Amino acid sequence: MIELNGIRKLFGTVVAANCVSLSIPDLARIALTGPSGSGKTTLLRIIAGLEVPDEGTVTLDGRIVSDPGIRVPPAERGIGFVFQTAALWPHMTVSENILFALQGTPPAEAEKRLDGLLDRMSATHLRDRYPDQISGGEARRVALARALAPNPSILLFDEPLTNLDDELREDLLTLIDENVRASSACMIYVTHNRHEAAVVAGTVLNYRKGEILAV
Amino acid sequence: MAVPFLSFSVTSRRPGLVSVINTIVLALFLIIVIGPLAGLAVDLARLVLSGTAPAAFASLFSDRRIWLLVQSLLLAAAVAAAGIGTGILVATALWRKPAGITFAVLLMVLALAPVPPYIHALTWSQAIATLNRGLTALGSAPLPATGWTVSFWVEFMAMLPVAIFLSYIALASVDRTLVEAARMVRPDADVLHAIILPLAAPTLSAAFGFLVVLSCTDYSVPSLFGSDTYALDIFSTYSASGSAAGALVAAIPLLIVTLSVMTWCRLGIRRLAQTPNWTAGSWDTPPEFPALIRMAQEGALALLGIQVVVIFMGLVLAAGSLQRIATTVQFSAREIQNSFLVVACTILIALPLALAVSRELLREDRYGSLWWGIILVPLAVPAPLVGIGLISLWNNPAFSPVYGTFLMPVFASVCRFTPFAAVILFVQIRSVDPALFDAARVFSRDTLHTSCRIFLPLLAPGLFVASAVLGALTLGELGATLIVTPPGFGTLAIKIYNYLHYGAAPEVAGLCLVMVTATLLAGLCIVTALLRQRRTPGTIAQISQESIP
Amino acid sequence: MADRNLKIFILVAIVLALAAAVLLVQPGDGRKTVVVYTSVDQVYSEPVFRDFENRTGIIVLPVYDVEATKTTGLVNRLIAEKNNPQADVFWSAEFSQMILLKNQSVLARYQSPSAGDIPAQFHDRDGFWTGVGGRGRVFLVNTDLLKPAQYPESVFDMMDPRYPGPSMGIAYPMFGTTATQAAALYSTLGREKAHEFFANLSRKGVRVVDGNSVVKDLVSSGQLSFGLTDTDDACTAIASGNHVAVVVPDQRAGEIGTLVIPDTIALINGAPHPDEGKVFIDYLLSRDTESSLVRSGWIQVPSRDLPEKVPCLNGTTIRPMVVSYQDVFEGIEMTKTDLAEIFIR
Repeated sequence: MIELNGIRKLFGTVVAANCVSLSIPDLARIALTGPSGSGKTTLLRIIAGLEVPDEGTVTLDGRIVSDPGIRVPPAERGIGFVFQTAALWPHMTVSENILFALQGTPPAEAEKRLDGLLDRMSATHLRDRYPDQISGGEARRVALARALAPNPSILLFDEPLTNLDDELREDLLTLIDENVRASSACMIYVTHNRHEAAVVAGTVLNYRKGEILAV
Repeated sequence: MAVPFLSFSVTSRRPGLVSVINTIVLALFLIIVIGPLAGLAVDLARLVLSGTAPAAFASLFSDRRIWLLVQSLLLAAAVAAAGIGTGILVATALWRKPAGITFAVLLMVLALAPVPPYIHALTWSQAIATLNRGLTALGSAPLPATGWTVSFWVEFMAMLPVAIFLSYIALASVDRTLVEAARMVRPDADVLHAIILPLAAPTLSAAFGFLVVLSCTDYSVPSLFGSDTYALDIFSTYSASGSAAGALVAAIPLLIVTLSVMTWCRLGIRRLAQTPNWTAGSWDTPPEFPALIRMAQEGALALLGIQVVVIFMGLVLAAGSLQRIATTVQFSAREIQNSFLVVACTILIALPLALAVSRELLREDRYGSLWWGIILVPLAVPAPLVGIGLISLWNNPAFSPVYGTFLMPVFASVCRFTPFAAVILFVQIRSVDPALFDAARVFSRDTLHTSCRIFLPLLAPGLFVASAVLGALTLGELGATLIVTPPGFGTLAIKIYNYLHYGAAPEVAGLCLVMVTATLLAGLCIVTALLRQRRTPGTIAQISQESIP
Repeated sequence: MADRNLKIFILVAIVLALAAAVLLVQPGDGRKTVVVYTSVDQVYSEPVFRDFENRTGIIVLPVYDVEATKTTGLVNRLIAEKNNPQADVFWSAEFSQMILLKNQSVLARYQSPSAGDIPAQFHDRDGFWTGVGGRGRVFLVNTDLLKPAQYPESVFDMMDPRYPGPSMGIAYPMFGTTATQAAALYSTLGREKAHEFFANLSRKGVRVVDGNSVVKDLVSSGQLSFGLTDTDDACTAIASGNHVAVVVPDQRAGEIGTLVIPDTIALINGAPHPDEGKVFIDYLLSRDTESSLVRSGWIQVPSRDLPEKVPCLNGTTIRPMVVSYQDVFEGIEMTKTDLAEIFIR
């Protein structure tokens, strides 16, 4: 569950979040749409702990993770994040990228989980390749696998299908939809593409100039 | 931009271990690097407040000094402009050459960059004397052996390797996609002047400023050829008065100029850090330039070749035989050993300091600006003053385990050169896709593990380059080392200068060859690391290319 | 790939650290040591240190000065360290810096028994330092460019129109022994005349270079016809087989004589090893050591009557300039400031 209470964030005079309050229950799948520069990514990053809000509280699964006196680091928030640029570490193979998110898991179990994820993403053949040896679409699959690897209770997607052709986008959209449903996580999916929002989310929220407008 | 690996894990309002370590390292930087300079400034302030201000204040802005400063700046600007111009021609010429030639050229310039200016002055003086004998025999007028013209020429040749390297990086930092878009509609010569050079202008300006500072603070080349510079006047004041405070006062105008120039350079450095993939070298379809430009490019390459020949031939001929070189090396084994000890320790101490500071340089707020100011100061202070400052700070019974040991020459190099390493690491951090750091913060389960597995590997090329630069600069450091070197502990640079003094040319040449060999190896590491990094860049350009199916 | 780079980097760092540790760990052998700061060229002073070590078993830890810092480095280091001295002995290649150190309370009184036969003018009247031997300020002449009849015979011959300015060379007169000579001229001639002399030299376009060894190099290579330098540099040039000769200036009756700059030695106040320092000073001021320094070519003007002859001077006796070291020292700052105004513009 995600609760935002009075979140405010300014970048100079630009309002990225203007007293945003939102409650997302478990298993909910929310899409956040809006024009470029409206502050959608900023809101996501605040939830993830990658940005610090100027005001307000973030509560995840009943635990306050961000308020004026508390800042829980991103790694301790139980979040899986798929970045816009995939963000695969270039010096690690595909399997090492995914296993990194399973650090702390017993090796045998981690390997088993890795095999399962690669299989689900149809990426088993990519196991020992480096990021510069795979295509953009394949990189997105690996990024998704990495986000799902630690069984997060919250999944965040920041425009994950940018710059992909229609066919590839549809394939990946289906993959995302299937895996998010199977994971039982609550999800926020940021996009400016209404079709994507409609496919993956049960509720679509419109975000403009730092404020949520229901759709 | 989010500052990487600066995570405040305030689950219980206590700073995380990484933050604490970071704060300690920053404090060490301030003590080791800024402490000596602050001590000098405090001494000066104390003198002024007690009413015994150094006499140098009285004549600080005299006509003579102002004219000296103007002369020095003009020489430095001319040297920098010629250097950057030649650097651009060499860099653009390399676009059409095979990768092996590019590799060899980069290696050569990196090896020559740390050769002390005095060696350039001596080898060129001999070369000019030889040329003049030939010209005289042919009945022609000899070339001028003194004056501003020859001073400019030798200073330009001494700075040429650094100028070429910086120009190469500046041009390689231009986004190829933008260039290719222009090449679709205009000839390559137009693209060079209308697209590439304007895009590279901020970083070329930074390189120009850096060369101006280097040239301003060197007096050894101009003084050999009878040209007086402001840097020489500072030492004259120091010699006349024996007062470090007086010398610091005399250095104020030069400090103001160099700090201003370095602040201006900062803008270009930040620009470099934002642009993608500056390790890219070869072109799939090299540009075609008109004959005039190609001739100028070949001429620039020939100039570099002449510089290499003069230095190496001068050193090799003076060294005599391999036997003599071996004897010299054997006789100087202790100094060579000491030098490499100082290099090793300087790298081990300076790198963590530089890494901590480089993260502060990323900050967009006023603290970031403050840190930029802090790291630029050591670059502008003359070396002997750094040495005196180190004595003021460390020559204290409380620090007797440190003072009087080899750590003092190490601190001298750390004080002078850590800022260079910090800037290099700043550039490296900025060139990495920030999402990679963000992803690490999200998926990290163990801070130390994440630092070792993610952050440091992403910074590895920068660490290599910084280490090689620190090593090369430390090998040649003399002014501060001499002031603080412990008894019985000589270095290669001190020995070279001692031998120069009593004209032991073969021994000097032999030792210089040792130094050049060491810097060649360091250059080999840099170039290899940079070219290997192209395979798995993780840089912004690579990421944008990944998005194209 | 970057992961592998990091592993290589860490490996190199570990090797460097281990090498540093190995180099650092040097078992102490319990021998006595003496720390000597010296502005005497390493090639001359090092054999003296080795001989002392062999004779006494006391290890010498030297700190040398270099031309590049214009002799200011070592003296300023001694002053900066005076509250916590590291040096035991200062062996200087000239005298003015020694007087400066005495005035700054850096020196300790010590009158060595070895110096009993050194003439009085070489002793500090308060017993803080002692001089021994010395070098003269001479002309080095290129014999391919000048015939003997054309050799200059006085420093004032540098004003002679037959010598074009750029054909003559001096080291920057704000540093080192050239500064000392300049201060001696100021003391002898008076400020006005001396200022005029150097101003005329500058106007004439005399070549001013980075040090005495550079003057030597330029004269030897024929880029200068002649130049002012020290006798040790001049004799080195002759010994190297260059076509050069030494001219000792101002030796005729009524002329001012040639400045002789003695080495000076002193014990440092608060020295960490004062007893070893005294043993070293006694050794350095001995007749035998002065003889060895004449033989090695460092001293050309011995303070004692020694059997050794200086080959490059062909038995010439140098008539020294009569100056008070104290007067020269007191005028040196003013001289250097004056000359900086003249020559750095």
